Amino acid sequence: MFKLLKAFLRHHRRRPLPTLLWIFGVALGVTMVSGIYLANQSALNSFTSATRVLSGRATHEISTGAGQLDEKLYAEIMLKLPGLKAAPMVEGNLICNGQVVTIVGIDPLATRELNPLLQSTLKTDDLLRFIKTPGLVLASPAAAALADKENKLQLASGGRETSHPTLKILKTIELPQNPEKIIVFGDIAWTQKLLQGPGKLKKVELILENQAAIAELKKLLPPHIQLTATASSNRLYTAMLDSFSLNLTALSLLSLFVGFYLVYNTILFSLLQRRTEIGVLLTMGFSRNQISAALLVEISLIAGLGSLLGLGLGYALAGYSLNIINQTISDLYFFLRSSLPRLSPGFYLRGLLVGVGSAWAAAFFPLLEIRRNTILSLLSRRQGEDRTFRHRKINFSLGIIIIGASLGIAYLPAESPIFGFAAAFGICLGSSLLAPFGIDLILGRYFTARLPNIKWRLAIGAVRRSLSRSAPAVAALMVALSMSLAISLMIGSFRETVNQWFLNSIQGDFYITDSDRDYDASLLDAQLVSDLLKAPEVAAGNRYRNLRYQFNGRLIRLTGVDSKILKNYSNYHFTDKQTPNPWLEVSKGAVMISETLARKHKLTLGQRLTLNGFKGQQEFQVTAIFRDYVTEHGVILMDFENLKALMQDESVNSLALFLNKDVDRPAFARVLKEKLKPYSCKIYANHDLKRRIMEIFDRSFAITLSTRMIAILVAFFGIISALLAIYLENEREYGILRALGLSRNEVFAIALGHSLTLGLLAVIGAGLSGPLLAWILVKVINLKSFGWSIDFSFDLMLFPMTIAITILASLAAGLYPAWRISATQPSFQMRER
Amino acid sequence: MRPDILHTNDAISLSMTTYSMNLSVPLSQPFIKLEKIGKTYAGAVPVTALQEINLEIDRGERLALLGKSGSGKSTLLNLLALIDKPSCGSLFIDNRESALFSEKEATAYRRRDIGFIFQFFNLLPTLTLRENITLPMELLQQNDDDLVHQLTREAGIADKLERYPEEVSGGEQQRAAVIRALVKKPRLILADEPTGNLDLETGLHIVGLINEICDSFGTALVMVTHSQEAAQACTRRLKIIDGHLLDDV
Repeated sequence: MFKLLKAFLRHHRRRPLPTLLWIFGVALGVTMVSGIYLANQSALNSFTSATRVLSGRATHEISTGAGQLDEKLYAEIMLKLPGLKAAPMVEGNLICNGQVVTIVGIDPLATRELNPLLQSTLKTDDLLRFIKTPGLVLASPAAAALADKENKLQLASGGRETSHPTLKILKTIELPQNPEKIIVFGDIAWTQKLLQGPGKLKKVELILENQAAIAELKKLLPPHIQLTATASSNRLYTAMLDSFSLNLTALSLLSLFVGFYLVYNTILFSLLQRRTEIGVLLTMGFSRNQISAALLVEISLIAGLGSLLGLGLGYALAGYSLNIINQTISDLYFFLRSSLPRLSPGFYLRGLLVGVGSAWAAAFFPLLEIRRNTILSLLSRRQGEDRTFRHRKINFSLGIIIIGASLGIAYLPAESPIFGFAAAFGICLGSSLLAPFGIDLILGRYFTARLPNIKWRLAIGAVRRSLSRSAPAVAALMVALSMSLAISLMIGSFRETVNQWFLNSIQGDFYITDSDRDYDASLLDAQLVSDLLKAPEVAAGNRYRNLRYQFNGRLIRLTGVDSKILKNYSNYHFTDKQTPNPWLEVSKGAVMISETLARKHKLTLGQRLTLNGFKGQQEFQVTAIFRDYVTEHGVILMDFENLKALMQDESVNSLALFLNKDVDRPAFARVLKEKLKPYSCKIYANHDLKRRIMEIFDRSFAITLSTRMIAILVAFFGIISALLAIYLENEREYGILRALGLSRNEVFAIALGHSLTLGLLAVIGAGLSGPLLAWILVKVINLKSFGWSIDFSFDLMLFPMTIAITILASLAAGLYPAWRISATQPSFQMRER
Repeated sequence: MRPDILHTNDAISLSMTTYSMNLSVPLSQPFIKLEKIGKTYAGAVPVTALQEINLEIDRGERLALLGKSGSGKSTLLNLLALIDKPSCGSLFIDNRESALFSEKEATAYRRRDIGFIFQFFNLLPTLTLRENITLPMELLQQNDDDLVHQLTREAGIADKLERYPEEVSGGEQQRAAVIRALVKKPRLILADEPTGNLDLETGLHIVGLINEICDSFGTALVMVTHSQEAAQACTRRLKIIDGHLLDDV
């Protein structure tokens, strides 16, 4: 058995190039899957609610859902339940040295009960200073790193106070589970004024030891106050990333799928080269089981090498993509800074399972073919009838059935996008099965015989004759191209839709904001807002107030706007509305909801929503549903004054200014900039804001585009592998052609013709399956993942570009095999082996 | 009495109740017997390779099979090796019909009792000559370095055993292939045009080597050949014409 394995392994030493391609194929698949997984997990694991880092023992928390809790409630609870372990907290994000710093206000005496870390950090003397000194903070190591020589942090954004607070670091507090967090803790007395406003808390954390304690507390809570378990509240934030993570994971699996073809082709080629050897071994008395076992061990060892390489590359990819993921999450969801963890045994095991597993899957059919063949057919020096050719019609029928079934699955009434992904995979698989019959049909005798040039017939004929080699290569490239085309079409459609949304919804001349991240706590000075609205150049201004709000177990956006202004200064795309002008209803107390909110929470027009405010609950009727692309989690839009009343908060996050028609915009911009200097605000002209939004949009697809490129790279190597296989099968023929008088250049051209033929066949297939895949991406996956409606737009330029790229890639892939074919001595090619 | 041989690696076991040299079969009974064997290959146009073949092969007998290309010689060899099945008729090995052999029994038969010599040598290219030669013995969990040394010295390739097949000549490859087939002392050698790819002189050497070793081990031989010289070295010569077997040409 050992000798058998030795014989099989030495085969790779003799033919290193196909083996390298095999290892590469496995490595690429493992790279994508492990890299994306690690980056995703790092991002998810790094995030915890800012206050969670301290409250190690807290089991529950009470809040209103919008982070605006009346502190009187806390006092009342502590009075009625004196033994209760509870700690009030405030929280917000401000800017320091260009970095977002999370500030958490705590009652150190109460919080010590919930977390021993604080107890050990704040000794008695420190505790007194901490309580008595405004601006004195405990800082995480990452926050401390931002401080100046005097251990001070100068905040650029002033929050609710117009002055710019300076924070002095008392001590560094180690956060072993969140080392990257930029977070400071201050006494609740001064932080409350800075972040939430007088009399307001973000939440109260508690330890409730049993159901009886929970029941007792619930009796004291008014209906608009929520009591949630700690784990559930943390899940609120990570749930925001669900769709994002799922889509990334699906993309990585699609790359694995493409890599699978490269591995399949290489294994098939390797096994078919050894047909006669295997026949001899069977004749000698080896059993099929012994041979299969030795081959599986061989495959596992080679795949193992590929997996290890893939794990290393995957770690590097994770590092690269983590930056992009962090950036995207920070742009779209909440500020996040995470780093790669230490690698666990699970990481290696997962990578090996993926790599070796995919190799086993790829080897399944080739091994089965070897097992099924009689000894006689294996010994025969003739290749015999190509099984792929024989089964081409069956495979074609199967492919059509799979594609049809996939389309059916895609439209199953399910909330999850899983069926959409399954449909996408099904379309890729089904399209691959069409390849053999498609190649035979297109390159059939009828077509080939009518080619004017014998050399063209030779070039194309080899591709058709070696169907079991060329079909997988064409399938791999076709899937990669389809994916690329589909993603391009989807991104293009999405971009155009967002562009249109921007034109309709964002019509202000200038937008002023304190910070373009973490809108909750970044607030504009009230006097500034008032002054700007009264400026003579300003025809109208719209105030925005945005809050994160817990709605049906999900964090959504609750936005207040000046509805009377937007009635005249916007052109929202309403998908449904009760009246011709919903803005009027909004100004009277109704709300509008975004399409994504309506879909995800199954809300309808006319439905009444109960919202938890600062003082109590209030009902609002849904008067319209509108398209929005700011967040996939949904928006409830109401009039600014109604939100102010609901939350007892008149803060403004940002302001849109609509200028009079005759105002010189550039001149006004200069004046505005001067005026806003003391406030460290950001000013965006309309086109600047659009550019920024599009930058964020493009950045969020950066990883998607990388995945697309890697898939094409894999397919490129798949073509090389297939060409080498075709070359070896037809080696004698090339030798004969040279012996008959064809020159090296002519043979080179014929060989390059094989490559070009493979590429063009793939493009034809991708031209059919790509738009279908794009349709699934746009109308099913995106819709169910994020809830967005995207108008499908067809960029015709994509097709000629795809053809051009494919031709270039095919020719490049064919260079080495063509050189090998033309450079080898004809006598060597024709000799009997 | 052939001992029980258990191959734990692939669970092939030869037991006295299944395939074995059956002592109840008298030595006068032929080792292999073919009764009305026929072989037709299906296809768009069926091809009949063998018709009504009746043949008995005794222990230690040396047969030469002659005939034109396409007459069915190789087909007969394949049937004898149980790597192909007859379309009709019966093939008996030690008085037991081969159609009743399970896959494991057929494998055991090839492993233990058959040595195959191919026209195109078919040495495993990734093993040295030594490794190729000792492979069948390893399969039987046997080890006989002395025998290997003796046979390779007689064949004139003892100094080339660490080389790979592509590093030696065709004649040397075929000698290694012959020793590979014979080193396990099989009961039957099937040689399919063993000299077909060699020059006359080398071919005669090979035939001589085969006959010599078969003599010393008492191994039966069925050799397909075009060579009259090779056929002369055998005790019986048969001719196949259009799938029919003619005796004693």
